[in-house]
This record gives sequence, structure tokens and C-alpha cells, in this order.
Amino acid sequence: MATIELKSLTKQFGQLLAVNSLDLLIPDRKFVALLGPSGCGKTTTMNMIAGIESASDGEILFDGNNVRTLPARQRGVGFVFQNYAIFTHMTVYENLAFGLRSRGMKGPEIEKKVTDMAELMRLTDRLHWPSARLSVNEMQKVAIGRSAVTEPAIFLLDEPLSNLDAAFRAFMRTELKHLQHQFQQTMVYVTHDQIEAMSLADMIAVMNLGVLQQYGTPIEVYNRPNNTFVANFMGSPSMNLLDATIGGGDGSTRIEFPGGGQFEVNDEDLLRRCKSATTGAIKFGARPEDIALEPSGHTGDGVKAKVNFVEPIGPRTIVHLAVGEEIIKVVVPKGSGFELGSDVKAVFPKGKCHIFDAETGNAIGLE
Amino acid sequence: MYRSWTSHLWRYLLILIAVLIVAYPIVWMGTMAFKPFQEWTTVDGVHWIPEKGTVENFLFLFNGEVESLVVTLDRTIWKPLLASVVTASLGTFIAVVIGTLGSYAVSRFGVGMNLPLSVLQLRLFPPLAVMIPVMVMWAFIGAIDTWWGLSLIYAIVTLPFSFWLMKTFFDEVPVEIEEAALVEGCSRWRVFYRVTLPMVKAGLATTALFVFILNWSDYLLALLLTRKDWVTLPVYMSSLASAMGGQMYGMKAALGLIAAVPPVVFGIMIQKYLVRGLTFGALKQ
Repeated sequence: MATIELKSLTKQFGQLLAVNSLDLLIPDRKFVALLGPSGCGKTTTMNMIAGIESASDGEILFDGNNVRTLPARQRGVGFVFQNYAIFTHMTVYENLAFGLRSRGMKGPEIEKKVTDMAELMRLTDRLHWPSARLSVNEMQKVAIGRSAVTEPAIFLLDEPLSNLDAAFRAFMRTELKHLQHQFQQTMVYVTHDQIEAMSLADMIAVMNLGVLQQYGTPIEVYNRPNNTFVANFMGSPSMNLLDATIGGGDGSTRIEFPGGGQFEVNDEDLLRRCKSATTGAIKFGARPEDIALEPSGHTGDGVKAKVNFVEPIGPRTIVHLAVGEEIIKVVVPKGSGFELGSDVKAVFPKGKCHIFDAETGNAIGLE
Repeated sequence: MYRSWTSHLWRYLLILIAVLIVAYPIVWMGTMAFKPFQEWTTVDGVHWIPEKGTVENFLFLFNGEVESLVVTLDRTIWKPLLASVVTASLGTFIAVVIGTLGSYAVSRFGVGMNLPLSVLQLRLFPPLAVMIPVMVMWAFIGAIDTWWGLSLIYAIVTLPFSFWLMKTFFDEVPVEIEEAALVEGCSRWRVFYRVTLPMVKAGLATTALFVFILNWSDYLLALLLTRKDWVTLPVYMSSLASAMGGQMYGMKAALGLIAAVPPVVFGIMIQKYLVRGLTFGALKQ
């Protein structure tokens, strides 16, 4: 089995720094998602782990051995590509047997492994089809099977589900989980879909512009974002980030919004964080699903707002509120009955508010 | 897509006209090849069907003489046929192998910066402009009127075609397919002959046919670079005239028929790939 360790891994394409001094420890048998928008360097990182792309600098350690200069074929990893990359001039069987053959395995053994894998991937009745005739879904199953059949200790998946239709994607997610349980590989999974990352991964590494933004369990990354990028990227709809200042005096601490509205900070966590702030100007963050909406006559803490737009999405409704100049989104159960144009009060949740340095975007006072 | 019957009518009418234009000289050649001397030129116009069909034109080419004609050939078709087969095939082989390997390197590894364009400049000049220097060079290295000299020049002048055609085919193969094979434990060479080459085999066949036809039908190069021993079919055809008989139309037609056989057979052999090769861009990625 295998631990992957990246040490100040760097990749430069001409002027472009695709991956900038990345340090990452991927523990044995864990499912780690590399998450980020396109162009963030996640696929480049993956290619360097696989040996498809050479690293400009840094180390890639498999179980402590530096494999950076090792050619791809000697690294013993499985790789699933976004566009399947199956060999369309071969049958499904030949595709599945490909890796075994090039590793020098012989007839009966190949036969057994291939039929087993075909059964696992539910491809048995397609085994002797020319693979060019398969559906997109089946192609991706072949691609996953082809990589899994050699039982690599490290399994790399580059957005394997992004071209599939929604129903099949959900199905494949669980299949991948099963696969990992069965073969106990260390899995690295590249995706730009934060829901996929949340649901599959043991750990998520969020990247942007070639730099690692945060690395932690899905819950950590979701609940304690390191900076505004992570805060914004995780969750759908994304976190509300508002310009604000920390004010107060007479023993109370208040968060004030420039367009009007303020509230007194009265939960310990946020209070502590506000006190460690060195700057007055901050970004205030709260997730849409955490904010409560109350009638405008509500007497507790909160910020006055006007319902600007109502977006029903089935089980829930997204209410867009105008708070001064800015818009915040709030997710409420369907049928909550907030009318367009009505005045409401947005109540920010205790223990679930975030503050970030307005300039650097880094979280303030995060433990 | 739905088409009305009138648009179908126009379509097929157009196709018919095109076919007629193309087929007319071929059919003419086909019937002419079987006409006896007396029917080659007639005062009362064209007969499509030979009145007294004969294979003497063919026999004449192969044997150098036939009973019904007083003229004889001092050179039969055998040697030119061999010359054409050898030089066109060898030239094609060299051009396709070098073009394939070279374009793969350029397509995949981006080596040789300006190489693709400098290969192309081989075709920028009209052949005649460079043929005189080439003749001098060939004479210098003793390549005039040799099988290898002619093969070499065929390989050189058709290299741009094979290079650029193969490059477009290689460019179409998604790089991930090769990367997948690399990760699955293949060496670079194995990736090339187990994965990439089989994927472009349709293109390879198309390229080979195209280059072969170019070489097979060449007249100018063979005319200038051969004298006697390695004269090819097109040059030989032009010599089929005599002071007594004038132009030997029947023999020329017979020779034309014979010369059409290899490309046609080759084409039929690779027909399966040909359509794929010509529509390669439609490959599902």
C-alpha cells in the first residue's frame, strides 16, 4: 500500500507557474480530492504524481521513495482520464487486459482477472464488443476497470465523472467507494465539483492558481475555511461574503455593514475572532443555509433586509436579500412564503459566522 | 435530413454528370485497348465497341511483336513494369516510414520547430525549377538510371505529403490515450506501435495509397533521371510510337489499363480504411 507525499512540488510552463511549491501528504488508503476551479493546477499535480508530466522542482515520494525521475510505467499507478482515453481500436476485453499484458502477465491469469473485473464493472455482456461502440457511460466503466484491474496501490482519477449524465454519476460515485473498499488503494481524485469532493473524499485539498489553499476533512474545509477563496468555493450556493467593519465600544462588539445594518456579536467564537483582528475592515461570511429569516418586527439581533428575488429550487428556496448595497442569499425550506419586496430581518447564526481579512482574504483568528 | 424528391433528382443528376465526365476517357481507353489497328482511327467517326475485338495490343506489349503488325518493339513492357513497381513502392515505403516517424515526433514532442514548414518547402517550387540541379547531383553520385536513384527522388518529393498527412492524423489522436498506455506500463515505443499506430492505420493506408499514386503516375522525374534500364511505365508509354505506325493508340490504351491495375487493387484492398481515413476527423474522442 502507499502513502504519497509531495514536497514543494513545482511545475512551470514557460512563464506560467502551474503548481507552486505544493506540500501534500496523502495517507495510505485514504481518498483525497484535489478540488479547485479549472486552471488551478490540480490536473497538473495529478499528472506529475502519475509521471505523465515531469516536475520542475520538488519531490514526489511513494512510501518515502522519491519517484520523481521514474518513468510513468514504473510507478505502478492507475489513472482514469476525464475523456476515458480507452483504446477504441480494441475490444473491451483487450482494453481490460492491456495493463496486465504490458506488465508481462500470461494467458489464464489475464483471463481470470479480466472476467472478474468485467463482472465487477457489470461489463460482462460487453466484453467482446469493439470499445468504440460503447456508450459514454460504459466507456468510463471500461476506463476505470482497465486501471483497477492491475490493482495499483495508487489510483488517480482525473474528473472521471464530469462527462457522465447525472443519474449515472451518482451511481458511479458509490461504485468508486466500493472499489476503494475492495482494493484498499490510496485514491487521489481531481474534481471541480465540490459536492463530489464532499461526498467521496476523506480529505479535500483545495487549490487555486497553483497554490494549496486548504487541506483537511470535508467538514473542516466546509466549516472552517482558511480564506475567502475556500469559503466561496465550498458550498452551493456559495457563502455570502459582505464588506463589514468591526466596531463597538461600551463593552460590546458589533459588526457593521457599510450599506446600513449591524448586529452585536454575542457568540464566544466570533467574539474571540473579532478581538484577534488587527484591521477594522473585514469580509463577513455566513452560509446561505445558516442564516435565519425573521419577520421585520423581530426583536432580536439581525440585519434589516428586503426580499429582492425568490428562486425556488424544488425542496428549498433561495431568497436573495438586499442588505444595503449588497445582495445576500438565504436558503429556506420551500413554501416559507417570503414575498418579493417584503421587509425581513436576517439573523446570523451563532458559531457559524466567519470573518476574513478584507485585504488578504485570510480567515481571522481561525484555530 | 428530409429532402424533397426534386432535390434528390438534382443531386443524382449532378452525380451522373460528374461520373460521365470522369468515366468517358476511362471507357474510351478500355475499349481502345481491345481494338485492332484498323479501328484506331477511322474516317467515319468513333466506334465505342470494337468490331473485331482483339488482345493483340496486350500481346504486342509483352512479346514485342504480333503477326498482324509489321512493326516490332525493341523494348517490351516487362522491364518498365518492374521499374515502376520497384521505384514507386520503394519510394512510397521510404516516404511513409520517414513521414510517419517524423510527423509523430513533431506532433507529440514538438521537436524540430520549423521542420514541418521546411518539409513543406520541398513542394514550394515547380519540380522543373529544381530538376536540373537534381539531375547534376544524381549524375554525380551515380544515381541516374538506377532503381535506387529514382526511388530516392520519389521518397523525397512525396515526403511532404506523407509527413503532413500523417501529422494531421497523429494530431487527432488524443494525447490522453497515449498517457493512459504509458501509465499502464508501456514504454514509449510500445505505446507507438501498440496504441497510436493501430489508431491511425486508416490514415496510414490512405497516405500510402496517395503517395503511391503520385509516384506511380510520375512522368517528369523518371523522364529526366532514367535513360534505358529503369524507364518507368509513363515514360515507356510516351515511347510507344513508331516512324511507320505513328502513335500506337491501342498499345497505349492497353498500357494505360495495365498501369491502372496496381492503384485500383491497392485501393480496393484498403477500401475499408480509406473511408475512415478520409473522414478521420469524425473520430469519437
